[in-house]
Amino acid sequence: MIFSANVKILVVEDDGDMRDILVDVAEATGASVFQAANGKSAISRLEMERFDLVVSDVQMPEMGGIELTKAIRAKTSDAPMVLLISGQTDLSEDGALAIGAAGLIHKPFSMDSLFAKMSQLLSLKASAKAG
Amino acid sequence: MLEAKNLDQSEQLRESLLDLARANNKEREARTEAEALLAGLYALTNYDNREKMFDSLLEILRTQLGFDKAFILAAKAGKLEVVATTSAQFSEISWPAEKVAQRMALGRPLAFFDVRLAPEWQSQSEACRQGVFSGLHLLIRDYPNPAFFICTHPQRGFFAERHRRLASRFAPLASQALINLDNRLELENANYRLQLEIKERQKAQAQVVNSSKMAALGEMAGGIAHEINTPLGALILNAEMILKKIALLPGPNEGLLKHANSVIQIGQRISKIINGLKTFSRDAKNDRREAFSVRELIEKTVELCGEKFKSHGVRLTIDDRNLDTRIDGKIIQLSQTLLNLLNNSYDAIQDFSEKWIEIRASASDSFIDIRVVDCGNGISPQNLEKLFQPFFTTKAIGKGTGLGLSISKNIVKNHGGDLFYDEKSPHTCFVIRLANSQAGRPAA
Repeated sequence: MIFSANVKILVVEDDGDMRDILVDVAEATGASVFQAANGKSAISRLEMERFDLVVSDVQMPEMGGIELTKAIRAKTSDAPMVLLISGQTDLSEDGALAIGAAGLIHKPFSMDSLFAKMSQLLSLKASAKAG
Repeated sequence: MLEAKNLDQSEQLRESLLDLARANNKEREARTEAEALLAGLYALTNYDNREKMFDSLLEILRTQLGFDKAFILAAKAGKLEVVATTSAQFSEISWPAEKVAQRMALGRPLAFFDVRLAPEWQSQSEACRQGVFSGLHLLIRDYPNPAFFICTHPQRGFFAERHRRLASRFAPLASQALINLDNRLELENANYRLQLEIKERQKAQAQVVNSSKMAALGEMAGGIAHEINTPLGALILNAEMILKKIALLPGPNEGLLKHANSVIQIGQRISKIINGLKTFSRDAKNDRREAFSVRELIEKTVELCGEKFKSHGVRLTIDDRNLDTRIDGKIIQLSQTLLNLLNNSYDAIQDFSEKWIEIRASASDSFIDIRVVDCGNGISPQNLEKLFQPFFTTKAIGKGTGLGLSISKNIVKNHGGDLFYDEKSPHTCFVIRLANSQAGRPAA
């Protein structure tokens, strides 16, 4: 197990197959994993409770990952945000950082690259807290 | 008395007969002249080649004038030069066009009792004047592009009033023929230029159609990439999850591991095809460029395939010239292009007993060329046309996607360069041509 069960991760993805496996992968880290099918339901989730990490798709109906990032940053949520992109999008790594996301991963990606990103962001967060 | 009358009558009769004979002669002369004029008119207006026309002109004039030797001079850069001659002795003649033309009126022949009296002839060598005494000069085309007909005879004072008259009759015919010929040549030139322009336009149009086809393909690929990469991502993650779970199972599970790994590899291959197509729609303006050397590009690429080549008996050589030339661009994309060319060579030369591939760089003021040459004997003409079309491949089914060269060409084009096949090379040779950004700058 990489993380403890106290670590709460929110997976936001409209594609059911992708969402299911993302949840499985995230749970494999040992963390507690919650899910949402779009930006809007993610926001209502984030308003109810605190999350340590959000992994979100960029292109979704209702509200996409970019709008979601902007919205939660406006509410001063400090949960690091990992954006998953596929195909046509103008979003670059720099662009993701500029709107307040902490990382960008291109689909398809390997489990290890997602684990690496998650670990990096959560340890950063922990050291920021400790500091 | 009667006798005297008879005598008178027969005298009159004889004179009438003589008149008749003279009239007959005149009529015959006029007829041959008219026939010659007609023949000349026909010949002169039907030649589309200057030399042939002059030869024909000389032939017609020879029958009419009975000259011994003749030549035609035409102006070329201010000098009158021989364009046709019946004798090689005149071929070196070169007279100042303006000076000679000034003394002459169009269609008014000048007969010389002895050409040695004419200044232009005085400057000529004895060899040139060999057997030349009397001469007849005729301006057949006026300044600024004068042309002359000149004929000679070994007998002094040969050209008389009759010759001048005949020559002057032919002058307008010859002038007109020259004008016609020039007009025709001009028309042909214009026609040729027009045809070239039409071809150019057709080519440009084909290029526009092709690039819009590519852009449409890119746009479509972008859309497909979005739709496919998500389920593909889920597929690969699921396979990875299976791998992890197999590891927890007891016993040897090589078979399961192999299949799960295959799913991942196949998924990655699909992703590569999709992402490759996407490069057609990429806006190169947003790409970040960096400076690197040809050496760095080649080394980075050979890292990926050098081992494979070595273990399969392919000798890869890198010409060490121009390797420090700097390139401004995206090294990963250009490396992908170079790798594609190297792998294509590798696949193509499998049947050769001595397999080799060479990378050569050259730099000029405006270009940097990176050539990939292999021991192959080139590409067949029927394949050449389709070489850079997406999905065209000569490789076995499942071996090639037919996208490598079209994507590579697109990458190099996005760099402001071009990727092309060198038809002149004795061996199969592809060239990555990039703009030389360092040209004219002092070396760093």
